[in-house]
Amino acid sequence: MRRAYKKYPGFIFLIVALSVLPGCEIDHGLDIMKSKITGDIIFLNPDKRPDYVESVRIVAAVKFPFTSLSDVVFMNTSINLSKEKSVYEIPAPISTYQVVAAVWKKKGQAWNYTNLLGIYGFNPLSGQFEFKKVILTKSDPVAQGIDIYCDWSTLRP
Amino acid sequence: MRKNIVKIIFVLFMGSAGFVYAQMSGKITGYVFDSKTKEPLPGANVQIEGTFIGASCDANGYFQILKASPGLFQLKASYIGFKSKVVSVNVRIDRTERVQVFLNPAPIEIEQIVITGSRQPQDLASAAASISVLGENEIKRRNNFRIDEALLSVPGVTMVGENINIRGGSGYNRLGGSRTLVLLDDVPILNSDLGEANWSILPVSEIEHIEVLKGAASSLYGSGALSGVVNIITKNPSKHHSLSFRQTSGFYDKPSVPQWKWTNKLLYFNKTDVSYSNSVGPVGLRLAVSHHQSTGDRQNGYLNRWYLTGKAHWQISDQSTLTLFSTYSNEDRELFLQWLEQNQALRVPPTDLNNRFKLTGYVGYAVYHKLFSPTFSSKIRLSYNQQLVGMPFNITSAFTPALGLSGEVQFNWLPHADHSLSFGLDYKHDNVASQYYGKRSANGISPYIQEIWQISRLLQLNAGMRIDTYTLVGDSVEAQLSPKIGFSYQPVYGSILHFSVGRGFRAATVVERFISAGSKDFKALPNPDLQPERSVLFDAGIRQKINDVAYAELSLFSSTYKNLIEPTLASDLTAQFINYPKSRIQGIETDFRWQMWKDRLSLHASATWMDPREVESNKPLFYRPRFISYFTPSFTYGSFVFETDFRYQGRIQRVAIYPLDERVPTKVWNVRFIYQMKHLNFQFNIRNAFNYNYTVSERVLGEIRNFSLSVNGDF
Repeated sequence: MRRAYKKYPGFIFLIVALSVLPGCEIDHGLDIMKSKITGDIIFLNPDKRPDYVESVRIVAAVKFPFTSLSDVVFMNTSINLSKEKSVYEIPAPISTYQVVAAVWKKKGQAWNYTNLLGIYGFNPLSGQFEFKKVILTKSDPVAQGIDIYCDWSTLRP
Repeated sequence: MRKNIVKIIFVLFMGSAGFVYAQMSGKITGYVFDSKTKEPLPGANVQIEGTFIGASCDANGYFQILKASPGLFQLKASYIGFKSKVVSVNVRIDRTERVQVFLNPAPIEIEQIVITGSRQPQDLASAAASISVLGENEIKRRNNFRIDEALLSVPGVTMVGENINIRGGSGYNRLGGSRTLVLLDDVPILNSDLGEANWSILPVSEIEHIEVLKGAASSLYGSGALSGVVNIITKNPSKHHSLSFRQTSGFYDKPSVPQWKWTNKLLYFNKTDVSYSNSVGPVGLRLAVSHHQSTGDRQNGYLNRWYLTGKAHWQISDQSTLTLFSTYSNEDRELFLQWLEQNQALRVPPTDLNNRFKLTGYVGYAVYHKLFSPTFSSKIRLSYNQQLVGMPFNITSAFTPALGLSGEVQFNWLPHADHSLSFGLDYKHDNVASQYYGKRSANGISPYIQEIWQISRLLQLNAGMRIDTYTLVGDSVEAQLSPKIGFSYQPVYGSILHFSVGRGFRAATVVERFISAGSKDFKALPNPDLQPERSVLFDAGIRQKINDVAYAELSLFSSTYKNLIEPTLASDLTAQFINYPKSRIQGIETDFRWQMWKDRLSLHASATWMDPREVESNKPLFYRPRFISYFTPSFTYGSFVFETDFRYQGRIQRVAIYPLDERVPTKVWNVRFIYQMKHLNFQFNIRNAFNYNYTVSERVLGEIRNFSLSVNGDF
């Protein structure tokens, strides 16, 4: 062994170095986001849904009213508009969200996140109208039951 | 009449200079070899000191200087990664002097010739500004797909998306112009509409070396050189037949996060590069064809790219040469703009699925060199740049290729043994059209002058200035004076102090000023009142050689920027470019190279600390890390090489669009094993060996782990 060490010191060093590697704890960087906001989106007066609505998304905003895209977290997929009630889930970083809302997009136009259709805390059925904060913390990273009511009859183009 | 007299005097002057020089002369021929391996060094430069007379070596290391005046001269041979060597040659009338030069490999990269720092050949050691060189061997070993990937190993360089950052100078300016000027053999190749670099314009296998000048360099190159210059030097044709090929095939591993797996198919890539070079009489030719194909490691990751590159070098006479170059790239690719969500980071939103577009790029130039006398030469260059780089927002079809024509006349003069002067005139014409910014054309004309003054054996002064006038037809005229001054001083052998201060500017691009777009998910508003960006850079440092086995460099830098052009994005997804007030980036950069254990083990480490800030708000600048470092240990034993690269980039401090998203530092290990034979070279690569997950721009994950095998042959 001593002779081998003298003859091939580099390879022995390499083998030792490589054999240590699997024992190391490896940092993989980004992982899935465990914090999220989830609830139901309920569409009221579905027969009054205007034809010009192409899509609906959920957004959560750390500032309200929001002026910049940097204030909001949003879903990249649309809610199924043909169902009266759907479950939504929006992965959201740990933060305090002043508002969680449903926004709509007009056919052939760009998204405008100020086009609000429904807001968490606003329930036309119970007559409740207050902005409710949603707080995600490391110890409590999932906010459930964040239901949003959207009344198609209130929508104006 | 007066003009004609001037013309006649000019022609007579030039003609007489050429005539005098064409009198009695001799010839120098020879070879340049690697002293260690005894292999020839293609591309090595040979020059008679104190003159512009020189030649570069072909694939066999052969060179010839046809017309040398009689007398005793010092012939200097230099090559990237090797110590320069000076040999004495006694040239006699009508005789051929034959020399052989053996260069020693150098861990110390300061003993090289660079051109980017002063628009004329200069020892890297005496450059006043900070310049890094990426040599052919380093580029070849890393086996990168694109030029921007290769640049990541240069100290102080990072990429955010496709924006190159030299010492944090650029940030991330999607749709905005580049703050780093990119040159191809000294020819500007930023496209004329977006002002961006197309990193796919040339296959990496055709690069001889890359010079990276750090800091404001508008006194040399004008608009765009706000925070640095990247000069890509291509390979030259060889005097004798030479065939090279490289085949790389590999596959992507599974993502380290099981939820991210999006397909059961094998995800693979292939890269084929073939080049052939030969000379027919006085004409040397080089042709290269490359094909890169990849399924990508994610949805919308497909890529199919072709390159065709040609270079011809014609030795018209003993005093004149003509070089023609052209490169064409055609890319068919899908677009991964951003992930669906962090929990499905390798998928795109359903609306983006199969977003696909074609991009083409063509760059061609002709350069005529004329040597009027051993101390007076000229260069005339014409270039054509046509690129459809495309908008990364799925509206490529709305653009037509942007055209850029440019020309340059440059004179190099050695009026005295201690003075080296370059002066000339650059001309540029841009012509662009799109439904989003209309039809626009612009003209730029820029005289410049650069001087290198060897004040004493130990002290060298670099100074220069340039006046740029850029006229947007039917609109505004921008005029800018960019001076610079710097020096290098060698107080003791092995130590070189350097200092430079220079000014940079970048005129707003056509897109930044006039874009008016409204696509499915994106709107942009014009801002015709945008002001040019300006910068002032101080750079001071020391280059220290330690016993011929180690080299260290320490630089301090401070850049002040005014009117940086950045996009703003409102909640209705409306973007507009606006001028930001004053910003400042200060920092320290270190670079260390060490060769030990009979050159079997080598280390290269670099680190850059920066403090990029908006002056008024004292907030960090967008898209800049505070710390970047690079570490490359390499172990060689006989024909085997084991090498790794570790790249660390601190967490991006501030982003514009998704500040709530989780951001992590970049920690990427690349590992490679190389087995070298005489003409063949086998390489096994693992990129991102620990399958580390990070974002290269907002909501775009870095490449996941992949394995590849490559075979390289040179005949």
